[in-house]
Amino acid sequence: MTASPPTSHGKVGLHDSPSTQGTRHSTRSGGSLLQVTDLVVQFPTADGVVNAVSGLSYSVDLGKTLAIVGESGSGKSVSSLAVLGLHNPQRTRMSGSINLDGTEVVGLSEEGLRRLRSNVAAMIFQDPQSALHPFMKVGDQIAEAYLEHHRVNKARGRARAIEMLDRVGIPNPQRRARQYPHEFSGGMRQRAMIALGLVNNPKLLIADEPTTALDVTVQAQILDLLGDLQKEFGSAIVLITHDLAVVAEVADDVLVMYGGRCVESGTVKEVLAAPRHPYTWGLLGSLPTLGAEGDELRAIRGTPPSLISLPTGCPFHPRCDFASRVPHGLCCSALPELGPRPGQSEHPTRCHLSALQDIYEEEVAPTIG
Amino acid sequence: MLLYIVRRMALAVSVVFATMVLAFFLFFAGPGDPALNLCGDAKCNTQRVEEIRKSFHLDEPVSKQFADYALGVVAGREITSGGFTKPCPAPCLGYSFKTDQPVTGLLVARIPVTLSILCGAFVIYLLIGIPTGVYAANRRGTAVDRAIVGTTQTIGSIPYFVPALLFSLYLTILHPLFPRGDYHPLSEGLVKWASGLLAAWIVLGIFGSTGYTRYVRASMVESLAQDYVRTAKSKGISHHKVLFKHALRAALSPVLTIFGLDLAASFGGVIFTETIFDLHGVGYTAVNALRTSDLPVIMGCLIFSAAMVVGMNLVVDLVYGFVDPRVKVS
Amino acid sequence: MSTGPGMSSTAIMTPGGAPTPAAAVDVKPGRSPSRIAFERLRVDKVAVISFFVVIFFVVIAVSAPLLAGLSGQSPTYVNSELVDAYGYPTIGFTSDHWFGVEPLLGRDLFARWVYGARPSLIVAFISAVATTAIGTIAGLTAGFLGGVVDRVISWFIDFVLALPFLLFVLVAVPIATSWFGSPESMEAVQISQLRMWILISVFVLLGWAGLARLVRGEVLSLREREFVQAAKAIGVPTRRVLFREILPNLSGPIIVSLTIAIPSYVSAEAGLSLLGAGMIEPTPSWGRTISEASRFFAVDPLYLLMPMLAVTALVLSLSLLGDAVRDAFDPNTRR
Repeated sequence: MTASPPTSHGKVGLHDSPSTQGTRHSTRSGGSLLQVTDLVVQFPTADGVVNAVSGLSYSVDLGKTLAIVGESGSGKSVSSLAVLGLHNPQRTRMSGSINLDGTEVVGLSEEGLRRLRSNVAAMIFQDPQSALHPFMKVGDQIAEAYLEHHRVNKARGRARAIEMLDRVGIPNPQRRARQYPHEFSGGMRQRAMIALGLVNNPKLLIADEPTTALDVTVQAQILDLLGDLQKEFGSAIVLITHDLAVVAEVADDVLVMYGGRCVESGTVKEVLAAPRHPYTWGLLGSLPTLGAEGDELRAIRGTPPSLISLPTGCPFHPRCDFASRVPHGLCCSALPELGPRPGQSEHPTRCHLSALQDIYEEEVAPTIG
Repeated sequence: MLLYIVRRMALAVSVVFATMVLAFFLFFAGPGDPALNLCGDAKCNTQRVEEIRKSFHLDEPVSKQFADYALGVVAGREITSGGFTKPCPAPCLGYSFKTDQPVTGLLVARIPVTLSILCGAFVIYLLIGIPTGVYAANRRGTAVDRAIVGTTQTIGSIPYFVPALLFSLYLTILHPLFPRGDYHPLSEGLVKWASGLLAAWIVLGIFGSTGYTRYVRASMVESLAQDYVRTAKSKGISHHKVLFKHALRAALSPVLTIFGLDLAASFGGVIFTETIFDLHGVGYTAVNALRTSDLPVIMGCLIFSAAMVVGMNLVVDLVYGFVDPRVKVS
Repeated sequence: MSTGPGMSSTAIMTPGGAPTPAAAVDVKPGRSPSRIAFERLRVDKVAVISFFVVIFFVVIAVSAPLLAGLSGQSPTYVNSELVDAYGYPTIGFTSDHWFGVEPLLGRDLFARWVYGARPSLIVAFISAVATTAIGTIAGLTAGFLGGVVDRVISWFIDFVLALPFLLFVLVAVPIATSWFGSPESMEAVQISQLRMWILISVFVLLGWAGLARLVRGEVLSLREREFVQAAKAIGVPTRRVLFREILPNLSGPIIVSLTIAIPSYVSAEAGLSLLGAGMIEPTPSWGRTISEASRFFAVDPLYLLMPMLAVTALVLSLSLLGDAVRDAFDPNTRR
């Protein structure tokens, strides 16, 4: 399969010959592909300022997959949209730094952002039914992204679109390219979205809940596809999800978000095998498992916080079963710092509890099936 | 799908038929006496009224009158009045009481006038409405947007005949900045045709476009909030392309539906425009016929415009079913 | 937003900083939708001004005899001495006749102007209320009873909506009036009154269908909702559930219907009177006056402009007020 010439900032000339193998992105010397530092995203509204993201930092390297986990309203989607500068600048206040492949995204001009989008980093959106334009042919929608960043003629664009549809495993791609999104099944639409995301061979792929709208069997196929494509092209993936099972399947690293902040992060092995935050415990505990005893599904009590009036101190404390163990009402009054807890946690966590490991091993682990 | 088409057509026919029944009842079967109305003024005595009654078959039972009429609409008929037999080909809408000419022929002659008014006005609706609506939606929340919304709201709320009358009286008659309203068929030249209609187009266009501006704006605002616009942005294409190729394309489809239905409804004759600017279209014909109690003409106009509304509705429904591939026909 | 491309800016909030403490935010007590709407309207300048303009005209209409009496004139008294041989008035506006007199008949224009407010408001309000009431009932009946009743009512809705409104009213009003009274059998004043009621009736006959369709749609969509099926499953009669749920949902379409109908009917009445199919002599109607005045506009512009101004101001303020009311009750709009 022919792939496009190596992507760069801006359009590629006609004379670049396409290579016959997939382009492998090499890791940059020093520094990750994506470096987010102290990201803050706020939306001033008539009812108050919505603090969607209140200080988020993470990094992703080429060839790796970072999963960002959280409930709705945790800020996971908002922070990812910020990477591509997709928020309305008039209605958003952003600060912090997002360094994408050497370019600072926060404060970047619209023109600069456009050069990055779909080119250096691409996004796969959650609901392909609504994310694809209902009145445009699927092939045209994919070709459009390609033609924007490559100075080639329309026929080449269409050919590329068909290539991509084939690459993501859609049978009969020539015919499918001429069809409309509603003529595709749910799984196929998601594949088409992935084709759209990858058409310019971006170094970073952000997948926002790519499997949520799909049946379980199709989910597995899509995740496999993403994994294969990553292996082939060496891109970095940020996978946004609320589903820990997906995280366990495909991610290398995981970042748990709550109330607009990171509350725990580390490698998947670390966090899933040795979780060190009550919220993560709650997430793991609420996973129904086959063969487990008991007659009730466990949910984390309470509801997600309002982003306009977040709780004082630790954002999770109203729902935390262990807040009472922290002396002096610290959970109420002070936001815990994010960092490893020597002796209790190897990887960063944001919690005041001092006996995280002990509590987990003695009280929480036995109840998780 | 075929079943749907058949059902819709049957519905359309039933509505037109019902209009005929209603109109007939109104004119010929009501408690009033059409012969008396026709007779009009001073010269009336019972003998004259009887003559009229006989001559227009008003003495026959209502059901027979209606059956004759209805049959005539579909198949044409021959009308005898005053001893003469006149042919009336389908669709036969009777003969004018005043001019003794076939109503259908009269309407056919007047339809182009209404059409000419409409085509100019509707083009202006879109020429003003779409760009303004898109512009306002793109700058939503800003002062410009608020100004546009406020202006269209205000202009759209003014009763149309007031500025139409003012324009006609002050700008075409008293101080003829614009040519006076007068219909010249296209055969007499494009410029002549257009100049006679210009005043009507301007006023109707400006006032009629306000609704379209608001509608395009609302539709665009909704379209811009859709996920596919965000996807389009994420491809790195220019804002211009996002706005027109993605957002507007989706936003226009409901607007065009309204456009089609509006056009259909306007076939009843844009009555105020026609009377104020002295353009003898369908609406003018009806108003005029009212003054002279020329019942067949009035009936003809009524049935014609009902048929246009129903027909256009049907066309829009069917076209929409074909054009928007997602529409499921229940 | 940060300072520029290529520079990473300092955060607005330090990484450990907490946002505003929840305790400081006061919680507004729950307010009913009407209260919320009313408060929004109070602040809306356009709405307030429009409201007072409408009240102004209502007051004029109600106190027309008083106002006309102030200038000492009546709308029907023919001052033939003030009109010359050609029919033109010999005076402009004087202290006796504030708006002058009309050509031909020489009646006092100010009196005719203030009385002209009456048909406009009476016809519009009665028609709007009746249309809304009948439309709601028809829609509810069709939606609730379903089956044949629904089919019949729906067909009537389609039929009425297909009729060209203006044309039909234009045609129906004079003819229907002739059924019930003719110049021989009735006084001019009586015919004029009759005409007004016929006009209202025709408006209502044509106007109920729009709202009926909306209400029927509401009832039908409510039927589809799962909680109705759930209630049915536990034995609650569908009708009871629908009835309890539908009433609050009706306020939206009803408000929309009323706020659009009233200015439309004022405009329609004036327009029809202009065409000669609405109010007739001797009832003063602004539309009628405009029609007559357009013949004399060059020599007596005030004759034309005063009723035009009145109609425009009334319809405009009713429309803007209606817009504001609709926006105020709609939880989605934010001005």
